[in-house]
Amino acid sequence: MGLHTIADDGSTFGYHCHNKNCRFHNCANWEPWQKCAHHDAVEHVVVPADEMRKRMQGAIAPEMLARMTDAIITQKTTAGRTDGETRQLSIDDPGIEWVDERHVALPVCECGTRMTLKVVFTDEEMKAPNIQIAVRDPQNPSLITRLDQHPMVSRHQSLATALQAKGNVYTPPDPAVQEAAQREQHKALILEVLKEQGVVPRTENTTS
Amino acid sequence: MALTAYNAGDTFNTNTINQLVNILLEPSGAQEVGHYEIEGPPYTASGSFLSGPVVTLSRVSVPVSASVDSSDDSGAKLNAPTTGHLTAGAMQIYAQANATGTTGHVGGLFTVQL
Repeated sequence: MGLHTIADDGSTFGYHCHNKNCRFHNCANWEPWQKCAHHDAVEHVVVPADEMRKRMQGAIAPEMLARMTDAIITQKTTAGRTDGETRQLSIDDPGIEWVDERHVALPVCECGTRMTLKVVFTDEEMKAPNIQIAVRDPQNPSLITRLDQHPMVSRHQSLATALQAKGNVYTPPDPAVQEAAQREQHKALILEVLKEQGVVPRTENTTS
Repeated sequence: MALTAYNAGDTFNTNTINQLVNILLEPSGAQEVGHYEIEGPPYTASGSFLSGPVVTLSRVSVPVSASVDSSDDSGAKLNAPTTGHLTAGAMQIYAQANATGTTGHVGGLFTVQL
């Protein structure tokens, strides 16, 4: 999951929450390439002997095929997936914030979960095996027929563009401001320790 | 991520190996779920952060999004946690302090979407 939809003008977007108990969690009817770590599981299924013989026809010797009985096989299941709503947000939502130069955090969901999206990808990241997807020939899987891009990438990049158009850009922390804040924090700590030890610091207008 | 265990005599096919390959090199659409806990002394009520690294199992795939909640430990002296620096193999979970004290903490579930 990431951005599920984004309006053409970038004014609104929708997504599904990762929290399995949230009403905005939606993993039912996903595309086959998407997995849900919360709901996908492994199950044991009984396959009747006749069906097993059909499946194994040509793969094992005829005498073994004849001896085959009902079999229990292990397979992955998506039966536990749940249907949910799409959380719609406005691009102007004040809870949207840049957490660093390449990531944007969405407002905290009503369930308490907060999602962060990667919205700027480096050249190296664009070549990662899950971002640049090798599509193989179904008849000959050793052949790569084309390279697709992860569907979330363009949606997330569109969000970054829409935010920047609205003036919502990443602002790196100012070292001077950070240093001043750190000085104030150290001063407050020192005063606190002195107070605990019964030492009363002089005020600015105290004369000796 | 549920894995199928194989035994002596079982047919050994591509799916067998790809169970493991798909952990170290998660494909598009995969997810990783785990727990985290961050704890430390917030020394100022505004502007200080507590942070912790999370190492993901996938070594080369790049997360497109990540979520955190505070379902294990609703927390003290910290705002809702956030993730940042999503990259191949790791990410950061942090929370901003809202009070001072010797121990601020929060913990819960993280979900990484690849």
